[in-house]
This record gives sequence, C-alpha cells and structure tokens, in this order.
Amino acid sequence: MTENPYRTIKLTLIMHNSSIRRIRGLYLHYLYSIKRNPARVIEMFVWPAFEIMLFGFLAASGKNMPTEAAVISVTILTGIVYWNCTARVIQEAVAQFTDDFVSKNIQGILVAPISIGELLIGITAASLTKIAISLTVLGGVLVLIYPSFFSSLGAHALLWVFQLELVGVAFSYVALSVVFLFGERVSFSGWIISTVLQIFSLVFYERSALPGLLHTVSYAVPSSYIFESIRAYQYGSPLVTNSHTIALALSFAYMMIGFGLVTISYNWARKIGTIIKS
Amino acid sequence: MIELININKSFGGKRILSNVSLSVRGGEIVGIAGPVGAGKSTLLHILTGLLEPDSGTITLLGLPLQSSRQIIAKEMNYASSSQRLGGYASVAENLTTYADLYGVPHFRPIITNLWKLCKMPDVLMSKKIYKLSSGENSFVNFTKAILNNPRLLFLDEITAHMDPLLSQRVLTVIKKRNRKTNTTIIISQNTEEVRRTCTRMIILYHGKIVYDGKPIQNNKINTYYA
Repeated sequence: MTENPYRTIKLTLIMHNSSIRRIRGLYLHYLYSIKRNPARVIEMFVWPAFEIMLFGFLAASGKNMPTEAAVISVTILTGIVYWNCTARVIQEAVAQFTDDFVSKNIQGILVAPISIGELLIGITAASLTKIAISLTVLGGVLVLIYPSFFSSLGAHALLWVFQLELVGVAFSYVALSVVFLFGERVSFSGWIISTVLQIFSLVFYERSALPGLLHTVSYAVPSSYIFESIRAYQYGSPLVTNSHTIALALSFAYMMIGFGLVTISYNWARKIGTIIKS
Repeated sequence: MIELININKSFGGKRILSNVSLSVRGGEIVGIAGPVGAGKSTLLHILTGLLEPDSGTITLLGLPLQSSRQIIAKEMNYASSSQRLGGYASVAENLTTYADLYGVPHFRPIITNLWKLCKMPDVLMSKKIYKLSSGENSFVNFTKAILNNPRLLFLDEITAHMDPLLSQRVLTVIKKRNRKTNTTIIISQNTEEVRRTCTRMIILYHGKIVYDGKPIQNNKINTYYA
C-alpha cells in the first residue's frame, strides 16, 4: 500500500506542533521558577550587579593608576562581565532543575510525554532568557559606571556573549547529568563545574600562566579561546576568527557529549531510583 | 490495559518487589494496600516509568512501556500527595504549563467541571503553590493528573491530607471517570477508602502480592500481614 505523502506531512507537522508545545510548557515552567522568588532574584541580579559595580569603579579609577595597574583592572572587569555569560547559564540551569527534585515536581514532569531533548531545550531556553535579562541589567549598570567599556569592544561584544553562553549551555548539560544521578544533594554542581571551568577558561590570565597538564587541558576548553581573543582584541590586535571557529566546534562537541551524558544518567537514575527518592 | 509479568526490583541488595505479576482490565479501579515498605509506591513508580525494574515485562495499553514510553505517557497520568508543583508559580500557571506538556489545548472546561464537583473555590487558582495547605496541594496534584483525561491514572496517597468531604468528592470523581473504561490504580493506607471506591483490591506484603480480589474489610486485611 502506498503512503499518502500529504498525510505524512500533516502527521509530521502535528508532531512538531506538539513538541513545540511541550517545549513551551517546560520553558514557562522554568521561567516561572524565578518569578516572585526573592532568593533567586538576588542570586541572579543583585550579587552580579554589586560585583560589576565594585570592579567597574576600580576600572573607572584606572586613569589615576600606573598603566599596568589600569590594564589589570580593565582585564578583571572584562573577565567578570564575560564570565557571567557562561557561569550564570550553568548555575541557573542547575538551580531550576534542582528545585524540581526538591519539590518532587520532577516526577510529574518526567511522567509527562516529554523527551530528554525537549527537557533540555526547555531548560536551556528558560536559562538563556533569564541570563539575557540579567545581562541587560548588568550592562546598564556597567554603562553608568564605565561608559567606554562597550564602545571599546564594538559589535564583537555580542559575538562573545553568544559564544560564551553556548559554552555555558554545553557544560550545563554535564552539570544536569550529575543532578540526574545524585538528585538535590548535588545542587552545588553548577558552582563546582563553573569554577573548575573558569580555571581553564583563561578569564584573567594568559594560557602560558597555566603549568604543565593544566596548560594542555585548557586547549580542550572552548571558552579559553574566546577569552584569549577578547584580551587580544582589547589590546589592539585584530579579531582572530580561527579561535572562534575552534571555540564553536568545541562547544557543539561538548553539547553533544552533554546530551549523551544526560540521556545515560537519566536512564541510570531510573534504575537506581534517584528520581523517586528525591 | 495493564500487564505486568514477573516484576522484580531491589535497592542496595534489599528486595522490594518479588515476581509481581498483574493484569488489569479497562474500567477497573484497583486499590493497592499494604504496610509501610511493602513496595506499593515502588510498584506505582515502575508503572509510570519513573523506575525501571531489574527484570520483568510491563505492557500498558497494549504497548511495551520500555520502548513506547512517550506514546503511553500521553494516555497516562500520575499524582502523589507528597509532590509539589512549581512553588513560586500560581496554581493556574502550573496547570497551564502541564496542559502544554500533555498537549491539551482546551483544559479550562475540565478544571471548571472538576472544581465545581469538588466544590473548590476559584480563588485557589491564583494562589501560589507554596502557600497551599497540604490538602489543597493534593487536590491541585489530582487536578493536574486528570488534565489530559488519562486512560491510565495512578494515584499515590492522593487523599492523605484532604478533609473527609473533599476526599469523598475526589473519590466520587474517580468512580465516575472509570465508567468510561478508564483504569485507575490507587495506593492508600486508608483501607476503608479502598473498600468503598475500588472494584478490586491488591495487598502487597514484603514485595509480594498476598491478596488479589474483591475489596475486603480491615480486620481481614490484617490477616494477610502476618
């Protein structure tokens, strides 16, 4: 019997529609998790804003410092601003997912007809939305304190933000796989992973500053290429396209690995009972 | 509707379920009773796919759960009294997100009808989940569980925190639903409730089915715990 192509197309569209709907449901669920939640609002907006203010004032007072000290203060500020793009994505994804383990709502979500891919897209979209709002607020604070910060970086600022968020998404999947395995007990995994990643990301120093094995490992970390490129650009060199291509390729590779890890740990969690013991 | 064959499950070397086999037809309301640690919740979690058995096969709606989970999940739902939906969102916001997860476009009439039957006030809709009392929370979980009008409904101690009146209304809704060939499995410590609501009773003891038949009185149940 020959299959009606129009019926196949219609069925495919219905499937896509319902998948988009499920992703929307997950997206809204994770977006609501910060709504009216003072602890999370402080974590996302207030602390980073204070940090930016502190180092923004330091950088702004650079004109009264010796040249080297001024350069260091701007490097620190740049590092803090951009590192937020990666670290916040990881920490936010873990925080909202762990909340579901604490409330046992994870059971309701996983009983629903969602796939792991849809779950990850929902979590990612919600964390990226929150980070976009957070970064806009932080950017506003920075413009008030240190107006020349963004003008010195130009349109590339957006490219770096995008790439660093992508790194954050990739490593948030690794962190989520840990939460699947151990439940709310590892709510700190977002902090641990982002802190370890920061060491290899060359946020504040050159690659040569890392000794031996750490130096070698840093080549496998996508954000290291981005921070090297940001610093080089700030110091007057042209944008190194190669570095960004490598960072992009590595980020996608880690995203795939992260997706695989989440799938494996979800299946393992169903065996050992992490989901039901939460 | 539900077919379990030789289900086994252990945690850390301790056997929780031992060769559990079960067959449930459409329209049945099955109450699972048993002492604490008998394996009731474990069995329900296995049926929902939240937990994978060590061995055995599960067929729901004629499909193997292992390979057709997403298809079966559309026709199934689960609620537990110990679960809380998204804490800082309102009841309405939570139910909207779950309607999206189940692909139910017109869920308002389902909720309105249920809430009217159970005489629940509309103001509850705008209340945040973390502000709900335990009874209200259980009722919201129950509402979530019937959003998609599931053919398979799994309820874990859902009336545990409800007042007797609300509990009675919820059980009436369950009975009415099942006239339409839906299947419900209820876990409850309240054996009187199981006796009044269920068409069949299963008693689990040390991970084994020790009774499977018509609902029986409390004093008779105790004889199976020995």
